Formats: sequence, C-alpha cells, structure tokens
Amino acid sequence: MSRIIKEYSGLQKRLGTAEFWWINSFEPDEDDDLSQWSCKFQGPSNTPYEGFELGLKISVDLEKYPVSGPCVEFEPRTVAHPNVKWDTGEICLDLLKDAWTPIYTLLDVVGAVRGLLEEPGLDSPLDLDLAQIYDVDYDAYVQIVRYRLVEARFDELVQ
Amino acid sequence: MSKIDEELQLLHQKIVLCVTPNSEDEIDIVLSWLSPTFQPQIPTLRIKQCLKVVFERSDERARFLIEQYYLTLIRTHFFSQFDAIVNWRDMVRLERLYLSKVEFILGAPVYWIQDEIVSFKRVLMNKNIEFKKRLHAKLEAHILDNDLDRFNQLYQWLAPAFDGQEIEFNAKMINLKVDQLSQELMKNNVDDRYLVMNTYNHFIKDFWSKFYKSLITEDDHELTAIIYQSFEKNYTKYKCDEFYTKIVPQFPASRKCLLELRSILNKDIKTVGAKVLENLYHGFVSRFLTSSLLTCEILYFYIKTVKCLKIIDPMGMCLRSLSKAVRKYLNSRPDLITTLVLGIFPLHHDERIKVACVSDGNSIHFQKLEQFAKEVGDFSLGPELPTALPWFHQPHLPRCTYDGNDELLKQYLNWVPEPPRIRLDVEEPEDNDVKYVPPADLIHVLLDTLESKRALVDDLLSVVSGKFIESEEYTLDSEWQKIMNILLNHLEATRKGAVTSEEDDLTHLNDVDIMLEDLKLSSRFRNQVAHKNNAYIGSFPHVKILSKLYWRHYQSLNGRLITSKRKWNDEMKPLVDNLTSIYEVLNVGRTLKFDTGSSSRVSFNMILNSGETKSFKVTMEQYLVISHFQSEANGEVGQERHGMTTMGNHSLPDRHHTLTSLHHLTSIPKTKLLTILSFWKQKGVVLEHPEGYFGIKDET
Amino acid sequence: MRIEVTGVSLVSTWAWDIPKDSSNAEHATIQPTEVEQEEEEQESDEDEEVCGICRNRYDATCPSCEYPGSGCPIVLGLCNHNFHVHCIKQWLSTETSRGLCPLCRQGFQLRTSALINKPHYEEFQKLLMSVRQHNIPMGGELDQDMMDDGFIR
Repeated sequence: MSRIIKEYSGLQKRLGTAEFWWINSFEPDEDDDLSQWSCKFQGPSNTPYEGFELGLKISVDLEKYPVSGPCVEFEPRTVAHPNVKWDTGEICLDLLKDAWTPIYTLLDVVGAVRGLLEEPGLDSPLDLDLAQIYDVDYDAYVQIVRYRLVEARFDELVQ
Repeated sequence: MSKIDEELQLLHQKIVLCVTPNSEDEIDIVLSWLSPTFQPQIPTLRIKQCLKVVFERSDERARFLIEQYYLTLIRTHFFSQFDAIVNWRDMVRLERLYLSKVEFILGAPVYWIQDEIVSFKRVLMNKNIEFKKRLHAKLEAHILDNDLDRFNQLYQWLAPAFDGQEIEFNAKMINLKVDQLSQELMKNNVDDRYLVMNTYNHFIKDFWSKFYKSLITEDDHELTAIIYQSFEKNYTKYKCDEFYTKIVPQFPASRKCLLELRSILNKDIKTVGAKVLENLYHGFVSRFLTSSLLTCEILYFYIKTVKCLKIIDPMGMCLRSLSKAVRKYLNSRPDLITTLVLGIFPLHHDERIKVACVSDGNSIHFQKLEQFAKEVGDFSLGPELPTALPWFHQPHLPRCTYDGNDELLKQYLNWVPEPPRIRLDVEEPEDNDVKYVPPADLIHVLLDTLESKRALVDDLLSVVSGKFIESEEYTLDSEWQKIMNILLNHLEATRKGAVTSEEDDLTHLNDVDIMLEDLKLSSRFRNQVAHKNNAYIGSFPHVKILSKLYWRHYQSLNGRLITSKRKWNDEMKPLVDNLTSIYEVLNVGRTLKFDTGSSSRVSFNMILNSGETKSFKVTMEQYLVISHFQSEANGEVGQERHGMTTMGNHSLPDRHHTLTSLHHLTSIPKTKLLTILSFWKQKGVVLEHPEGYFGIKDET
Repeated sequence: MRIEVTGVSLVSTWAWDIPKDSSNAEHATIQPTEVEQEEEEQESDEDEEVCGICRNRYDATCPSCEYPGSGCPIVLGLCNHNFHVHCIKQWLSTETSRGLCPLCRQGFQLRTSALINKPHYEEFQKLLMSVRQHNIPMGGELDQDMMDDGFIR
C-alpha cells in the first residue's frame, strides 16, 4: 500500500515536467480510495488520435501492487485500435500481462499505452477487423478511428 | 388672604351664636389662642379659664365650628409656608405645633386632625419636590447605614401618606439594601462556597426582620424568594466581571466560587447560563488574544481558563467556541510549537535552551515558561464532576432500584437525560451537527490548539531523539515514558489511513517505536559483547547502535542525512574495530559506522607535565583532537607517529600541531577544528602560538 | 601530557554491508582513506538507493515490516540489483515473475561472494527451484549457465 501512496505523492511533481506534457489529468477517483484512478491524456501526434482527449480507467489491487500490475482499460466504446477491444476497452499490452515487473509505475504504464497508439502490435490483436484494415489500408484505418472518436465525443456531449 | 379672613369672621360669628349663654369675650380669646402664630403657645391661666368656659357652654355644632375654624387656621398657616418646608424636621415641628393645641384641649389626637395632617404630608410628598427628595435621601441613608430604628421611625411617619406608591418605594428600598450587601460581601470573595446563601442570611438576620415589619404585614415567601434571586443575579454579575481578574488567576483556590457559580447557572442554563458563557468567551478573546502577551502566557491563561470552565460548563459549550478562536489566533505565532514542546516535556534548563534556540532566535522567558510548564503539570483537568442536572439528584425524588436481569429495563431505569443543549451566539452554524465531546485532559486541549500536528510531531521526534542519545540509559525514565505514551495515544487517534496531504502525515510517529527498539537491541548487544569477552559489563563502552534513517539527529536542515567520517586515534581504533567485528559476526550482513561527531562521549583524565590532573568529559571529536597532543611513549622528537608519516612535516616539534596536521590526522574539516581548538583554549589546555602552532599549555 | 581514558559512550549507526561489485563501481560502505573534506558530508540522493519493488531505501523497512534491521533484511542479486527479502520473495512467488529480476529480466540469483546473502541461500534455492518447475524456461541466456552450475555454492 505504501508504494502506491509514494507514487501518488510523487505524481504531481512528475506531471509538471516536460516529459509528461501530454497528460491532462491523472488522479484517483476518490481521495481516500487509491484503488481506482482515471487518466485523461492527449492522443499522440501523427496518429488518428491526435487532437483528441482519451480516457483511461486504472484499477490497482492494493494488496498485491506492485507485485501484480494494474488493470488498465480505455473507457468502453471510445477508442478504436487493433489492440483494444471496442466493447470493453480492454487493452492488450505485454506490459500489462507477461512483461510486467514491479519496476514500472502507473505513469510508465500510461506512457506505454500511448506508445501503443502510435504503433499497434499486429501479432496479438483484440480487434481483428481493424487490425486487418490497418495492415491493408492505412487511410481507411485513420477514417474509422476518427469517426469512432468523434462519435464517442458526441455521445458524451449529449449525455 | 382677605377671603380667608372673611371666612374666619363668618365662623367666628357663627360660633358666638352657637355658644350659650353669651361668651363672646371668651370665644375671642380662645380663637385667637388657637392661631398657630399666637405666642405664647402654652395657655395662660386666663386662657385656660376661657377655654373651660367655652367648651362647657358649647354644643356639638359649636364644637364642629371651632374645629372648622382651627382647620382653616392651620391650613392657611401651612400653605403659606409650603415652599419653605424642605426638611423633615420642619414638618415635624409644624405637626407638633398643630397637634399640641388640640391635645391640650382634648387630651388625645382625634381623627380629624390626624387626617388633616396626613393630607398635609401627602400634598408635601406630591408637590414639594425638594422635600420629597430630601426625605427619600434620608431614608436611603438610614437603610444603608443599617440605622433601622430611625428608618422605621421615619417610615412610620411617612406611611399613611403613601397612596399607592408604597410598592414602588418598598421595592426600591429593598433593592438598595440588596445591592449594598452584595457589593460589600460578594465582591472579590472567591473563597466562600455558599456565598449567596450567606449573604442572603446576613440580609435576613440584620435587616429583614426589622425591616419587613414596617413594610409588609406578613411573612411573604414569594418576596423572599425573589430577593434571593436578585442576590444570585448580583453574584453572577460580579463573578463574571471578576472571572479573569480574580477567579482564573487564583485557581485552584477559587474552586469553591466556581462550584457555586455552576449551581446557579444550572438553575436556568438556557438563558442565564448561555449569557454568562458568551460573556466569558468574549472576555477571554478580548483580554488574552492580543499581541502584548507572550505565547506561553496566553497558553498559561488558556489552560487555567479551561480548568475553570470545566467546572462551570461541563458540556464544553463555551470551550468549543473558545478553542476555535484560540487555535485560529495562536497559529499565527511562530513559536507555538516550541512553547508546547517546552511545556509538555520535563526538560532540564539547558535542554530547554537547546530546544528553544534550535527553532527560533527569540528570547525565551524562562520564568514564564516554568509557570506554564508547572500549570500543565500532569495534564489532569481536575476531578470529574457529575454532569447530570441537579434536579435529578434531589433526594426527595424516588429512586428505583432493580435487581433483575432484564437489560432493557435496566437501561430504562438508569437513563440519565442529556443536559439541554445551550446555544451560544458565538457558535458557528456547522457546530450544530457535530457531536462534541469536551476534552478529557490537557494534552487534548493543548494539541487541539494546533492546526497541523505534523510540525509538532517533527519537533517531538527531535526532542526525543536528542534525549535518547544524550542519556546514558537504554530506556526512558518513567516520567518521560508516561508523557510519551499519552502523546502517542493522542496523536494516534488523529492519524488517518491514506494520506493525501503532507500536513496530515503522521506516519513517522512510528519512528519512536523504532528508536526504542534500537535502544533495546543496543543494550542486548552490549551484554553480548561483554559476555564474549568474559569481562564485567561496566568496563565496556556504553554503545548505542541506531537506525540512521529514523533518528532526527542525523537529518540536516534540508532533510538529507549527515555522514561524517573521521579517523580514529591509536586508543580508539582497536576498540572500535573489535566492536565492529563482533557486531558483524552477530548480525550477518551488517556493519557499524561510527558517528564520531557530536554525540559519542569520552571521559578521561589529563595528566599534565606539571603533575596536575584534570578530568574531562567531552565529545569524541574534541577528544580525538586533544589526544594527538599527547607525548610519545618514548618521548623522542620527530619519531614516526601514526598518521603523521605521510605528511612529511618532520620538522614540527613533538606535541605541537598546525591546523593542517591536525586535519590530516583526524579528517575533521578545518573550520570545525578551529571551534574545537578554541574550546580547548577556553579550558586552559591549549595555547596558540604566533606561527600558527598549537600546543599544550603549562608544560615544563 | 598524557591521557587516560576512563569511559566511552559510543553512538554509532548500522549499515548494510554491500561490497563493491567487481564489474561496476556501485554504492557501498566505502571507507575513504585520504579524503579532503571541507564540509560536513551529506548523502547524495542521486542514486536513490532504494529497493526497486517497494521504492523504500535499503535501510528502511519494506512496506510490511515495522522494524528495520535483521527483521527486514536485503539480498544482493548477481545482476547487481538489490531488494528487500520480503519484496523479492513476494515477486518471485508469482507466476508472471518466472524467476526473473524485475529490473533486468535476467534470472535472479544471489551473489555468492556476499556475506549478506548467506542466511538466505537455502530459501532462495527452494524458491527458485519451484519457480523453475512450474514455469516455462526462464528467459535470458545467462540462465542456462547458471542452471548448469547449480545455484549456490
């Protein structure tokens, strides 16, 4: 538990640095419950995600962290990506599964997710169709992703 | 005037006509004698004869007419001097004058003349302001001087002339007396537990019994009850005024007074009680929360006030608001934490100086601090007082005792109603919902004055860590132990689990446990060492092995840890190496690092060449420096000395050093060396030679 | 002038005995022999000598312990990465760890030369054996050699 507290106290400092300029907000949902976090960050440039704010939901098992990694997902039905399951927001990233070690921090994970947006990993897709399209027709891929993002934003506004 | 004369004439004639047989001359004489201004007053023989004649021959009608005549005379006389009558004596004289003649004739006063005089009195009181004023003043003076006989006399004289004003008048008189007695007996008196009752009894004994007879015809309980209440009111007023000038400073001597005040307030807690408490709140704020008082003075008075308030306000209504105000004000004072630390801990004088100087350069008033610390004492707020309302304790109420087992019934019978909640004007709206529990002891009160406990915890840890290191023991003495326990319990209670702000992070309170554990292990280690060497424990160095991270001692101002590496001398090195090797064996994977700075101590005897022996107990650094000034065992000059070989300063004579040579021998920075050398200079041990050498003084 | 010492009251601190590694000069309890120091030294926190798993200093406790010292020891890895015993054991008992060092992803081994590791040899041997049995072969080339040599001598 103290490890997550340490990360929390160090977070503000790190968010202020140039390295993490692209994070808009990163905080626990409630002050006294550090097991649920939300992060909103800007999509990387030169990708269809550029210019959009994307939301991540992170949950941490307070007993096991950092020995077991956090569970990171996009908000459901907002982000289209070959390694992301559209309906649930589940992300397939090695860092979150096999390659996890206690060395990584929550910030590192978020950074890795952003990296994934820049370079999808086609060997383990969760959205087979989209992975196919990315492989074959990049422009179409861009269109679909953008469309989905706009739609998601619209839904949010309507609510 | 002439009209009166006419009337008199008329009457005169009528009288003459009525009296038969004709005695005009006698009538003449009698009537002229009757005039108030006629001299002499006392009738001569002739007049007496005439009087006798006239009255023998008068019938009823004649007598009536003579009465009328007389009345007219005196009325004229009276009203002509009306404005001149200012003193009571004047009136009495007139009265005498008017009455005497009638008495003479008839032997006793009769109703018609009495009535007349009463109406005179009445008109005097109503119309002659000066007279009235003076008469009242006289009455008041008599009352105040306890001159009750004269008062009664006057009062009796005046009584028939009251028409409906007596109630007001009586009340005024009573109030006067009550106030006077109150002032006399209740002011400045804080020793009497039953002051109101005693004053009231005084009142009854000295005054009432003589007084009421003239005023009231029956023993009126309601009235006496009201009088008692007005004594109470006066008492409350005086004590409120004196609260901060007499009661608080003289606490606990003034306890009795507080108890009485409490019983009075309890009778009507919602209005009277609330008013008084508000009063006290404002009194404290205006009197003590000013910049002209030192922090320790404010705290001193605050504690005293809390102790007093606990007696009169056990529900803590006033204290709740007061503590908020105090907290807000005191947190603007930079030396709050220091003062609290100095007050709570039983420190010696020099320890106090160290604590005080460490945080602030302010001048510390030690006397006032002493006072404050003494007041804090053992943190108790005084014995518990019953909090149930007094009516519940009254003996005439039936008490139910129940010996059965029904829990619900027991609860029901033992239920004590909660005392009514007083609303004070000074409270803030959010206080309504929170369940307030008044503090149980002084620690609570004192810690409550802090907005953030964190700084206190920091200071606390510094004090404690210093204390541990300095002491020769491995445990705390019982006094400190007690205080530490109390403090830790309180601070524990306010700690939160997940911390979101630095202010609330009290988790480093755990450091105290670790410090104690370190000491325990050190003690064990020392035993093991002695055991290993089969030697008496006393001959072994007293060693403390600390976990560096947890002792404030090792943290410099910016939070980094201090390390200092010094070179040992020949004496110390084997000892230290021995200890280290034993430690490494006993605790695999760990080794010892010695802080040869300011906390290790060495005691030694210094035997000078002159034969003189001096004893010292100094820090390790100071010892190391001076130890290099010792003569060699074989006394040869320029001999290879441990540590000096590499320097090549062979030309230095023995036992003399420069800063550089000392620096190389000990690895102590030059600035620090200078301090140490001046310390030894002060002790008269070291001399500074002009070329920059240092040597031992007083050697032959 | 002579001095006769009558009593000493020593205050010292303890520290983990972390010997220098031969291949790279790391942090250690280096005793400087000739050092010109003009100021009071302060520990540099550039390296942040912390356990990689719990991010606490080595001489502090791991998150689950109360007292530092023998109760919460550290071990030195062959890859020159050091951890609290409790932390690394917790990590190594998970499947995802596959017996790898969290920092360098090489099979985790205790340094044989370090005295500080001595009390822990046996339990680590057991732990790593069971990891090997339950898992796919550990990644990294180094492991093969280590498996051949046997774990600890």
